[in-house]
Amino acid sequence: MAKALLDGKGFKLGLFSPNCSSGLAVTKAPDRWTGSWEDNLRLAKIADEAGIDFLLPIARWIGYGGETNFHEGVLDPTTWAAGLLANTKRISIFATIHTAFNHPIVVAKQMATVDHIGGGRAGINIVAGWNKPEYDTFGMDLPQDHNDRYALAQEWWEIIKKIWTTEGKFDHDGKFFKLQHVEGMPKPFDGILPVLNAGSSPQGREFAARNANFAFTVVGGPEDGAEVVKQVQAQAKNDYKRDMGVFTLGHVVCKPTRKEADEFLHYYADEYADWNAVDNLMTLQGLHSMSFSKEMLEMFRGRFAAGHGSCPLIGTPDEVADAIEGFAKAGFGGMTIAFLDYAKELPYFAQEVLPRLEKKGVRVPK
Amino acid sequence: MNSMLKGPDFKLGLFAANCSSGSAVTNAPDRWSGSWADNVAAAKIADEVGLDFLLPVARWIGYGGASNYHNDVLDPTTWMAGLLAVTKNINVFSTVHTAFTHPIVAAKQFATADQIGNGRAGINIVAGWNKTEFDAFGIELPLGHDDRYQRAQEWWDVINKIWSTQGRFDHAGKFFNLKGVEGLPKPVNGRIPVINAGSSEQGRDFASKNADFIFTVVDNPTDGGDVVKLVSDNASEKYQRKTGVLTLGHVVCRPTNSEVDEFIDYYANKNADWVAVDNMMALMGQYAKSFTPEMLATYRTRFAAGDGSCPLTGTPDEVAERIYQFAKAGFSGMTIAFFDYTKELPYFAQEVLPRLVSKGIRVR
Repeated sequence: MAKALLDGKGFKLGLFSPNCSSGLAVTKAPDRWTGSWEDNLRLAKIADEAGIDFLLPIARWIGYGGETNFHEGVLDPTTWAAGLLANTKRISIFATIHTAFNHPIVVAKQMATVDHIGGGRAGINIVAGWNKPEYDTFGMDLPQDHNDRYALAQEWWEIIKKIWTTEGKFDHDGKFFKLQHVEGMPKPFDGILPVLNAGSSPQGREFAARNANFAFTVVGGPEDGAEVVKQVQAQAKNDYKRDMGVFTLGHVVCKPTRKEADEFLHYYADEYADWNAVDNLMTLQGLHSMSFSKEMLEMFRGRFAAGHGSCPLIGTPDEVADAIEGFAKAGFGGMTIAFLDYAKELPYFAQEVLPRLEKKGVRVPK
Repeated sequence: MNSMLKGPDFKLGLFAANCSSGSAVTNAPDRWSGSWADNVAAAKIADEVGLDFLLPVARWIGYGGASNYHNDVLDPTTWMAGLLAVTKNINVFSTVHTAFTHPIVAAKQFATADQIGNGRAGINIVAGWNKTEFDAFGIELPLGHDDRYQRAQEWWDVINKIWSTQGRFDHAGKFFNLKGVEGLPKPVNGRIPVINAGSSEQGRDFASKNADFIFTVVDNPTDGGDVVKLVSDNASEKYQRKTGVLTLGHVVCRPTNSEVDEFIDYYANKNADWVAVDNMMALMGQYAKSFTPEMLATYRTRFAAGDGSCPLTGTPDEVAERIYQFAKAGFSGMTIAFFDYTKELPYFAQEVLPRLVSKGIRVR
């Protein structure tokens, strides 16, 4: 069975961050997403049924503070993927993994097992690390130099691929790992897993160009996004002779009328925004990562409250479908979406927006 | 409370189903596949017939021989998560090496699995013994058992603290120096059942202090009774704790004895993977203290048949009586393994489990 995510057909849509309490909405709204296992299971089944292409979790080890301690309650992405793959039929499910916190031999076996559970539907989102307080939590140094972060990530990923593709034992004598007579079975169900990477520094972009099937990146909108897509794909092509897709992030508020959409957005992302958590999150991203430019950080405070800095997909079904089409036309291979309450809001989106995207030729009917 | 920690029943669990060949060191072509599909099938049967738990082996490289015994092994933690998601009542453990997984990662993985199973996850803590595996990981296996267990203790303390602390804490220890740690979700019932198979003096002490169940190889119910007493006394005298003791068996149960003998001869003699048996016994003798030298000298067949575990072989009456002897010797339960778990468990469930109910050691 070929991997559906890599079939090159249609604009891929995935749900981002449902394994986290509050999802992507930095809000105190009492009806915010619980992130409980029960709700995740229910959501995964709806998404599987509706023809959503993939689920993408966040790996988060401590909260961002604020009244909600945003992203404190977070299910482990790898065991979450295992449990959801065991209960779904069609959808692809990623795990998000920090290279610095997990030994590559453990990850190789965990992800191969997860891929068997899903009959070839697992994917891996590789994180080289940016969140310094989390490194302090783990008692590890976050290298200030992005070169070092990505040198480790590259060696880590080479080992995993070698375990997955080598029959019998091998030794590995590298800078970060010195391993003797390594072997690993089972291999993944159906070849190397699809790779997502969200690196945004020059070194991160390089890592993605070299290794990822999909670069995952925040943009301001379709216009600047088109430039990013062009750059990233040209780099993969020129430096590594590889074709690579680019995904971006959005958050959805889709209601029958524009007024209802605006009111709902105002409710959870302004009136009930957890501004302390928003500021902590933005400070951390500005200080420790290069994912956002300074101008973007200043501009996007509202977007952070509404959806962790992702692009707004707000309005009526027609408007939301148009906005998504804009990203498809800009050259993106797909995007992730998030809702205040995923399980409650996804059915309306699936019923109203997905058919419109099919009609526009953006998505292939499932 | 997790059902492993309740009731006077003699607990029964399937061992090593996540490994190709299970517990049988054999080249027989119809040996256990260890595939995910077969594991789901076995787990669902076990759940249905009322077995208490599933216990996997964490193994990273094979033991060699023609079958490269235990080369093909599903990761225990994701296996646990997947099986908890498709079962209803059975408890599912994962086996985790303290040296190979950061305690913060383990805390979140087990808490998540426990959420998936609504309170049915368990942890089997391994401090490490298999030097060739440590070499594979590029990590040094401390030769002193003191060091192995000191580290395991700190690792487990960190996890417990994450599970029992609201808000953040720092941890400045000998092996871990952690700042601003917190973790949600917690396990459903605050904690999960703990198994530990430490057999050295330090290992037994770790188990006495931390485990709900000590998991140990014995020769038979008679010497097993002494082990149970020793271990239970240590826990209650030194730590004022009650620990149960589990042991290991492998089952060949057939309507007649000649069928049983023929089947054992088939998979554990004629088709035994003797090279793998000898490799494994040599490794255990060198680096672990699970087996006494006397055991290692006489156990070749037992290793081929069931990885050194006690034979539970015979007619349903005989197998039931054998299990009953372990219950009478004071064990809280035992793991069982079959040459082909899905094929043989239904007969065991149909014939042996009711006999154990009649003998008063299980309610189901």
